[in-house]
Amino acid sequence: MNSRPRLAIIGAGALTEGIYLPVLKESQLFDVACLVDINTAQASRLAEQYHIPRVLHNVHDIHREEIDAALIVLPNFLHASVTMDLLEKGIHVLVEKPMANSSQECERMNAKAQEKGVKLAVGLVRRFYPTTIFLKEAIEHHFFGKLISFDFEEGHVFEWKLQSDYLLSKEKAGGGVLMDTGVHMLDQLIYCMGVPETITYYDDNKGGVEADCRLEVTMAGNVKGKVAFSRIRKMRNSMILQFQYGRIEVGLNAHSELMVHFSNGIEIRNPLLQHGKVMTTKGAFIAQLNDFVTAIVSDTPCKVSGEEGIVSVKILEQCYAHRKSIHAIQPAF
Amino acid sequence: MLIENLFTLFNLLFKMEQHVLEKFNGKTILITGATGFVGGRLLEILAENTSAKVKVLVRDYGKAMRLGRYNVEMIKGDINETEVIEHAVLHCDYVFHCAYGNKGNDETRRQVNVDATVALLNASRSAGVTSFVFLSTMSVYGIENREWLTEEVQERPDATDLYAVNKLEAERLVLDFAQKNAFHATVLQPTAVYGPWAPSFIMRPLMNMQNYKFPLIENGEGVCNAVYIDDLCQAMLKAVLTPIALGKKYLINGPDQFSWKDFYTDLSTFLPGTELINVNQLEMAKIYDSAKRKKPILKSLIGLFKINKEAVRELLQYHFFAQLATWLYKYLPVSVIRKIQPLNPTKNSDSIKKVKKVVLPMDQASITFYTNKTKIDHRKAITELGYSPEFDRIKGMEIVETWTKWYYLN
Repeated sequence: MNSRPRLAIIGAGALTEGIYLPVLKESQLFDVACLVDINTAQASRLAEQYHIPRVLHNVHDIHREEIDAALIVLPNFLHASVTMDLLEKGIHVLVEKPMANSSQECERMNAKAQEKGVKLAVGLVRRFYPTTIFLKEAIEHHFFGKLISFDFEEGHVFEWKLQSDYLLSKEKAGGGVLMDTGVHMLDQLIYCMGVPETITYYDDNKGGVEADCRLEVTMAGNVKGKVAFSRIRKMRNSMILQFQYGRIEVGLNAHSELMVHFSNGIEIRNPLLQHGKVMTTKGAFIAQLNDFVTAIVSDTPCKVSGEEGIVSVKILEQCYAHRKSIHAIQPAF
Repeated sequence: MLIENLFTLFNLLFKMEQHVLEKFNGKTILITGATGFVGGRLLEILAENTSAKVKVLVRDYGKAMRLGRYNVEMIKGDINETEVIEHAVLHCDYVFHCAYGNKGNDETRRQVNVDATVALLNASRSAGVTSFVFLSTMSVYGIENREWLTEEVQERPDATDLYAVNKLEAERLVLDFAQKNAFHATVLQPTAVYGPWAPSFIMRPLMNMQNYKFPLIENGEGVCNAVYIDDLCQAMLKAVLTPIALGKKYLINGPDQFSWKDFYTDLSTFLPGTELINVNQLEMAKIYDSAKRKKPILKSLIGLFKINKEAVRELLQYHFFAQLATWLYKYLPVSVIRKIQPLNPTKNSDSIKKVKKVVLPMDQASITFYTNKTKIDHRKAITELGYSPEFDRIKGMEIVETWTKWYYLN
């Protein structure tokens, strides 16, 4: 392998353009060798801007001799098939969240990665946020006493311009707001507290994909909580955890402040620092790429491996399989 | 709220004779403007109460998140493209034309509002569509103080009100087309349409009430001619089923009469931090003149940020800009804070400075609108369409209150 692994980026959409390419340029962790997209005009434009030597139309044109690792930034329904193709060729893969649209696909992907002896990482970038790391520690080591309950909310009025119906198609996206936005927060929940013991899931889907949903969750130790997502209304956009000796609230960004409210009225409100710095969104993506490259070069496990990525997909499946109408518990419009 | 109460509320949401709804089972229906307020609600009613196949025309899928909850056929395209509308009307029994263009210059808007309406009519007739409803507005009559307004009154829209001018031109073409071709096209002229998601009479006033002292002109004694969204949808559905509605126009209003003071006082109680104030016409004219003279450069800059909300949100992802925004909120003058408050990225932040509110300026057209005491006579719709409005102010506002708390306060 060269000093820097040679990377193929599969998908030249908004996330690649807005986040991955600038982050790869800044971090210099990989040698970006090619950009693949069926929209070759878009791919060529970005390749020229970022001095990427090759643009390919099809992932089948990627060869192991030229590429060490791939970053998959495609619509959800393509995650499994494209990952399998690349793993088969012996190429390490970082696939964006969700790992795939079904746990069966995830299992096949994991088996293939193991068979070929390559790394399979999942782009659940919030695992790298200092807030997530802090919450996990606070829960495990009882910084504020035992966890009693929690209340997570994430919701915005969707305002991005979309050229395709991908996000509104059950077949392509695998679901609605839970699949798209919710998978991040579910992963944080699982990472910090473990797999839920029970989930009751409600959404407003009436034959399409859900835009507003809510999960009522019981974790080990009878810790109960609520998790809600929306793409049609703005929510509080924070995670609140009630502990024995205080209440913590953190926002959902890499740089979000931590707020601690003690029962005696004392409050702490500060950004969390990592290595003396506040983490930016770009910084979190760099940490994710750094973890991937370290895993490849040092043959160590990825922080979010395929084995971890499958857990949130199983939860999503469980939710959709046992969904109840949100009308049963709250107004829905 | 108790679950039993919720179910009671949902039963109120849409009431219409079952035998009328059954007539839409198995039909194919096109709705234009379905990403908007009226079209969106009509789609929900059809999807939830009938087995009709619903098609919608969508320009930007990003605005279709509410529609995406239903099993509807989304046709991507612009209403100005002939091929798109020819494809959209194919095999349709009914067309509900609710789309309205409010972007671009006057000519661009006219193309969407007038030219596209004619093209859609032609395409519908050619495709064998049975009936067509064009959603217009009572604004086509302009605002003159008279006791009653009926469909017989001569239309005189305010020449500066491009919305009304375009709607009038389009509705005349629709009625003419219907008569000449014996094609079942009907024009509906609703009053102020309100309900959950209503941009003009619910969402904007709520935002204004939070950021300003919201004025009740002349004590809010003007007549509020308003119709709850589901009543308008009832009229639309009945219009396509009523043969004598061919080539006719109908005013559509709610069942009861009340004032703007009644309406906005109700609304102001749904959210904390709202404020109403009585202002007479002369005072308001002065407030408006004074506001107009203030800092156009700042206004333009703020307007730019409002348009580029996505860019602002992106910037706020970065710690530096997030900190800068926090600092700005703490130290900028009150007058500037008030302008950028709607961009506030931290909904629940108590770090935001409490600003002293000023009175919301209103132009002369708004003053005239809010002081007018004309009542609407919609007996023609009741007699000919069988229109039977169900939602008086109390019922309608009960639903708006629940929605407001769900939408703004979670």
